[in-house]
Parts: sequence; C-alpha cells; structure tokens
Amino acid sequence: MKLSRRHFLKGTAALGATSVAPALTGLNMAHANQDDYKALVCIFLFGGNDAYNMVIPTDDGAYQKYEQARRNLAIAQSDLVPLNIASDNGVKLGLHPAMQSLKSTFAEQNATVIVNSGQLVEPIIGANNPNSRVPDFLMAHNLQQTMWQSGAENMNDKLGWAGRMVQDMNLSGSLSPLMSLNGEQKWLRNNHVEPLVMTSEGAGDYTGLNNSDRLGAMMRHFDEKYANLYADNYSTTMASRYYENDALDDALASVGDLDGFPQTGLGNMLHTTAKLIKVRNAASLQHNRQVFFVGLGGFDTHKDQAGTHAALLGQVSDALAAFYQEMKAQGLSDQVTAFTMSDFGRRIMANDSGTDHGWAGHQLVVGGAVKGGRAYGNWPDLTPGSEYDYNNGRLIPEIAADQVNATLANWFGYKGELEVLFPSLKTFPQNTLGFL
Amino acid sequence: MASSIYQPEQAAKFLYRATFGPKPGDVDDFLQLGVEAWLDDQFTRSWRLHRPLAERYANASGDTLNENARLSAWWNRSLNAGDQLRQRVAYALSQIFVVSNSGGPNAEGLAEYYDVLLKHAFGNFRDLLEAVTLSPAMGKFLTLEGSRKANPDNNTFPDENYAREVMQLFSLGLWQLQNNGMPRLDGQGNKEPTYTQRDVEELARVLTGWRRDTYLKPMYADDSRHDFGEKRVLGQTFPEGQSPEQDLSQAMDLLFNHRNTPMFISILLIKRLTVSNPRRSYIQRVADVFKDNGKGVRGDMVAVIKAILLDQDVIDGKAMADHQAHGSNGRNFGKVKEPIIAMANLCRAFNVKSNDPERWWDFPATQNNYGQAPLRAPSVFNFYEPDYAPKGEITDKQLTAPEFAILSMDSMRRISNRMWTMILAHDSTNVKQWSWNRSQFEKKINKPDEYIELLNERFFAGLMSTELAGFIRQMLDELTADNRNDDRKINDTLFAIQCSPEFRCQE
Repeated sequence: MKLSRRHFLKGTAALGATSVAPALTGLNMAHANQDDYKALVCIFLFGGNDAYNMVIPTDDGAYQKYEQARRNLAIAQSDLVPLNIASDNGVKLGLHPAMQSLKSTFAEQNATVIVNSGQLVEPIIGANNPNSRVPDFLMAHNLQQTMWQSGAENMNDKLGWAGRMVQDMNLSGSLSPLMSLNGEQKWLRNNHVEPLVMTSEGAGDYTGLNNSDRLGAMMRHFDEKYANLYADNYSTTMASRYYENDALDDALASVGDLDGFPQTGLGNMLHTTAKLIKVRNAASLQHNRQVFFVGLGGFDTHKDQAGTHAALLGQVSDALAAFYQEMKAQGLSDQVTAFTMSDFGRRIMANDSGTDHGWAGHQLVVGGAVKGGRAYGNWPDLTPGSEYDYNNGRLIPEIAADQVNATLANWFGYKGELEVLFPSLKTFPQNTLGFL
Repeated sequence: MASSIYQPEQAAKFLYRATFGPKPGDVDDFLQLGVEAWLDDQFTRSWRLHRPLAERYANASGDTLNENARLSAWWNRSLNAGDQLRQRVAYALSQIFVVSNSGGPNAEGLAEYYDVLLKHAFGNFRDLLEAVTLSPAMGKFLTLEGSRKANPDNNTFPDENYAREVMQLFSLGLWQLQNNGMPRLDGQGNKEPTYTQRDVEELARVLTGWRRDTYLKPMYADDSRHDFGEKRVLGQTFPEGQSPEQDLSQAMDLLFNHRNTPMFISILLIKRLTVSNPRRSYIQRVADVFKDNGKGVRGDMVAVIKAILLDQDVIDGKAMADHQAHGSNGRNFGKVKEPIIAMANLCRAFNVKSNDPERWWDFPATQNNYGQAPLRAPSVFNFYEPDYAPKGEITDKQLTAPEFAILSMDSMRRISNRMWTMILAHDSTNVKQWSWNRSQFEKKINKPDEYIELLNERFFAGLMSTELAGFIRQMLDELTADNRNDDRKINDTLFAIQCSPEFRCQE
C-alpha cells in the first residue's frame, strides 16, 4: 500500500482491463489494421421524432396531401430545404428548414433518408393479409425504444443487437469498443464485455485519490469478497468504473478539442465521439471497430410542437453535419456511418398544437459509405383511410427497422447469419436494403 | 406481517429503509419507543413541506424560486425533517409518479408537486392517484393540461399521453399479473396485455377538458373542451353526458380497483424502500394488504407501508433465490442504495449544517453528480427501469438491481468526489457550503478502538463488518507508523468508509 498513484496505475492497468473485459476470445487485433477500421454511430431521438415534419415532400402533388393531413403543423413549402433526392416511387424530398446544415452532405451523396420505416414483425403494406401481425405495444415509448435496440422479435432477449453483433465478431480492445455517451442502453448489452458508459466530458479525476493510502483503501474494497450480492457486485462495478476512467483519461489526454462542433448536448456528445475515433489506436483503446450510442431527448412533442421540434432538428442537423466534416478531416468518412433511431413516428393528425404517438417514421443515414443521391423506400399516401393508415393517421411502415439495422450490421462486417441477429427478417423478401 | 423489532441490529437496518439514514442516537430512541410507537409517531407527524421552504430560501437571496432553492429545500427536509418516513416515502413516490423538470413545470411547480406527494403519502392510493392526475405539474409534464375533444374540422384528436402512462406506469402496468406479481399466462403460455391502444384512445377522451390556472392548485374542468360522448375503457362504459369531473372520477375508480394495481404498485414501493428482489410471497402479502387493510379498505397507504417495512422476509433477511423460483436466499437480500440516499446517509451521519444562516444552498450540486436528482429524471420512465439487471451474476441469476443502471463511469467518480468534498468541508465557512463538527472524530482518532466504534455508530448504525473494522484498524496503524497527522488520519479513514461497498449498499 505504499505505491505512488502512477506506479499503482501502470502496474495494474492490464489487470484492470482484463477484469473489465474477461472473456474477449478470438483474434486479438493488437496491430489494428487502419484500413479495416469501421464505426457505427447511433443517434437516438428520444420521445418519438415527428419524422414527417423532418422529411417533407417538395413536389406539389405530394406536398398538398401532406399539407391537407397536417393542417396547422404543416411546414410551408417555400421554407423546405430541397435535397434533390426522391423516394423509390419518385416523390422528391426536402428537409425541415432548421436542417439547412445537412444540405451539402446530401448534395455530396453522403446522406440518405430511409422513408416510412419502423417496427414490423412481418410485411403489412402489399401483403394483402388482413391477419398480418403487428409488433407488441406499439406507441409505448420504452418498449418501442427497446425494440429498436434489440430487434423486433428480440424483446425478451437480455442483449441488444449491437452487443450481440460485436460479441459474434470477437472484437478486441482494452476498453470496450461499445460506448454510450447517453446512459446505459440495451443496444450495447452483450455477454462478453460491459459497454463503456460515459458522458461527453470524457474522463476526470477522483479528487480524493491524491494519496496512496486512500488509493490503497479503495483497492482493498475492489479486491474484497462480500457475502452480500449487492456489495459484491458494487465492488466489481466500482473497480471497473475506476479503471475505465483511468484508461480513458490516458487516451483522451492525447487529443485536444476538435473544430466545428456546436456547443449543444448532442454537439458535445458527437465531439467526444469524434475524439474517441481519433484516438482509437491508443494503447488503452486498440479499437479496429467502434460502436457509439448518443442521444437527444425532447421529441415527445404532444403540445406546442412547432418551435420545440425546429430547435431539436436544428441541433441534430448541426451536430451531425459537424461530425461528418470532422470524419472527412480525419480521412475516415467512408469508415464511419451515423444514423438515427427514434421510438416511433408521430401521428400525422395533430392534438391541437402537438402530435401523438404514431408508428412509421424516417431515418437519416450519414457517411461516406452511404449510397446517396436518392432516398430508400416509397413515400406513403397520407390521406386518411389509405392502405398506410393504421388508425387516424398513425402510419404503417413499409420498411422494417430490422432491415435497416441488418444493412448497418452487414456493412459493419458482421459475418453471422443476419436472420439469427434479426429473426423477423425471415418474413421479409430481402434482408438488407443496399443503402450502404 | 407485523413483526416486531427489538434488536439494535434490526433497528439500524429498519432505519436505513424507513428514513434517510440514522443520525447519532436514532437507534436508541427507536428501541426505546418500539417499532409500533415509532411508526404511529411518524404516521401522525405533520408534514414538512418543500415549496414554502424553497420560497423562503429564494427570498433570502433575492432569487426567484429556482432549482437551487428547490433542491436545497429537498436536502434540508430530507436531512433534518422529523417526518422522515413521510419524506422517504415521498421520494419513492416521486420515482413512480414521475414528473421531471425536463419537459415539466418550473421549479415552483415541481416543489408544489413534491408537496402533493408528501401530503398523500399516508392517505389512500385512490386520492393520491387523483391528486397526481389533476396536478398542474403532471398536466404540464404529460400534457393532459389542455387536452380537448376531437375536432373533425381541424383534424385534431385528444392527447393520449397521460391516458397511456397512467395505465402503463402509475396503476396497471403492461401485463396481467397474478396475486404474487408474476405475469399471468394464457393457454399458449403468452403474457396478456392489460390494455389495448383502443383503451388508450378511449381513456384519452375520458380525460379531456382539464386546464391549468397556476402551478399551485389542481387543474380545473372546462366543459367546452370535454368529450361528453359515451366511452368504453377496459370493458367499462362511461355513459354519455358525464361531466369532466364525473368521467375523471370513474376513471380513477376503474384504475384503482383494477386487479393489477395492488401488485404493480407494491412491487415498485418494495424496490424503492427495502429490497431489489422480493420473494413472491412477500409481494403477495403486501399486495393483499393493499387490497384490504384488514378493515375492508383498499389502498390504505399506511397499511401498505407498514406491510412493506415489517414483513417477516425483511426481518429474516430473505430474498428471492432466482427470479422464477420459490426458494429463498440470504445473499440476495437488500439493495444498492440510491446514490442520493447514500449521500443523505453520509450527511446525516455528519449532522451537516448550512453555513448560511439565512438558507441552505445545493452544496452537493445535485443536478449533475449522482445519476439522479429529485424530480429530474430524464423521462417518465425514471432514472432506471425497475427490472434492470447489470451484466454478470445478477443477470445470470435472473435477479434485478435497478440502481446499477445509473452507476456509470462518470457518476461513480462524481459520487466519490462529492462525498470527499463533504468530508473535507468540516471546517468550511463558505456561505454556499455546508459544514460539520469534527470534534468527536478528533478526540478519538488516536484511540483506535473508540474511533472505530465511532465510525461504526455514525456510518453504519452499529452494522459495520468485522472485516471493514479490521481494515480501518490496519489503516490507522500504518498511518501512525508513517507519522501522519490527525487530519490525514481522519480524512483517509473517512474516505475509506464512504467508498466501502457496505456503505453504498443496504441490507
């Protein structure tokens, strides 16, 4: 117990890392191949994004149907940000005026929209089957969030799809390559390695640990065995969190602030994400694959939606645009793909000044690997009572979230069976969508 | 149930569950009174409200009632109010009937909402549910306020937000439950949902027509916005022509009397107050009391709280062996303390005082440091979901430990830092900080036996393990051998105590 802090840390860092990640079998890519690097960045829009006011048709015909359905919530046609992309059925699309900053990324054909996508367990649109099954607890926030993160048929699975995917890929790294900057998330849960849960502030000091006696005392608590379940697990959790912080502190020390990120919650998260990508080869990371979860709340816009939603979309757009620019600057734009998820879309018809929980929405996908210049999926008929109308303007998705997720997993290098990762895929004509 | 508590060890454990932690002398006082008298006293004490105090604090420094004033009042009440059980239960209720600053009302509205929970903590669940439903803070947070009947001309519909969450989170839960809280299965072995989307839509119609005047009084009915048509919710008809009040009252009765509500609410309260993994029989005993307090009254909160705190399983230290089984297991008994409650335990052990004679300030910087703060959850789903299990043993055994969900790399470090700051603040004079009297510790620091006894009394109410005591003894020996001064010895040992897993968990 007479060790200096540095001595202590250097001496036990490796031990700490193995106790954090005990079961990483398979190839250890100690000399990570730079060219092989890839990252997935999930931007979760908590609360249920009103995607039908994020991506809006610019064509007169489709716009009029949009305006008729949305009434007082409709965004003026003249305010839309034209994208010069069209859906599979030829509807030209634009963005909410607050999302101007993403225009150039679409123009470079490095961003796209997955139109009218959402949770499905089997096809409904075009299936001509009045008995098509619908997912459980549509419109319930937490269960729909879970479904995005675990797979439509995997609600009872303890693990998330990114976690299961990474587990199967035997990814290496001293620190977990699965990182959340937005709290513990099911998406990253797996059986091998605990996800690293941090904030955009990264690592920091334990102010009390500035002498070896106190450090020794905490160490003793780490190593002690406890008869009680909670104390015993608390001890190992406390140890893991300490070692993670220390390793991350070392890694992040080598990179300063990056340019161009907006000072917003999401901007800060994507800024830190970009730093973690930049230091991926540091001794304490050694990541040739990384998976990030960031998020933004406030999308549950039941009331007074217009201003709130514009501000949220602006934040998403500005942060995402800055992140894309930084990836280009790092020469990694082809290797990093960012995408949105959200609980559900919102009902097309309003509750007065806001909107209620719906079903289908759209996702954005951004990165050099994106096959842009077009959108994916059919623009639905927004007329009440159309084949897309589940009830009162809650739209039925045509593209399954699991197909989108499988496309991402496939690009990321998952070599297992996609239909094992996402069992619902068996019911769909194609597993992946070709947007990457 | 109705077990009695005569031993100091049991008394100490009880006080960690029923209060924000024992203060010096609390265990003796409790034993002298006896558990029944202690509870009767707590149940009949007048409530110590938060909003008036927060207002006083704000006035004292010329501020409006802001979050600092509200959280400062929360700390003073939680640390010092005599109605400890009420304060503790209100904090538990604030994590069931979640209202949050994020999307919710201003600090004044939040403080008033907390007071609504305090006032109803020992009443009837039916009244509590109605008070929550009509609270303007809840009206703002889950947007019931202003919800109006469908308008075909404008293509608008009633707001379904509250209708959904009041069923999913505040009464029924998602799945039909057996009397012991386990999901009921249909013939195919599938769980059965308690409600449909249609029920949500219909209940949303029932609950139209409520508006807010100020955050200080319940919402009022506006007939012009109410849907007077017939509705049908969970198989029950709401006749045409009922007023907003009549519809609301019938809805409250329906949810209150639903067969799920006693089990669903009992499990949540058990997990906040006593253990993370109650045995099925414990859940059933509490739920049975919820259904009938023995005098034919359903939803008697006093009876429910007593049943939770005095259950034989709690006295005997028995918990679920694994999630589905009937056995029992002593190792699985207890829970991780919520971070803010561990902090409150530390502060009560120190008997901290505000340095500002006019008011308290939020010295713990509650908003950013604990992964949780009163009425500041990220969403209506609270800081953690009640069934969360961390990877490893707890998941493998199909157990739960929700508090682990917020023990991230960041919050674990910040909790440690805030506790350390509190330890160092004993001699602080900064007006926005708190301080505590270290003289007892200084008096005994060079008498290891007495000093360790003091630590045991202050931080564990007598429950410190012999292993931890032995380790502190060894620390003191080494510090003495190294000629460390008293200040260093006290700081080092207190640091070791605050980060010990046995201080951060409760049995």
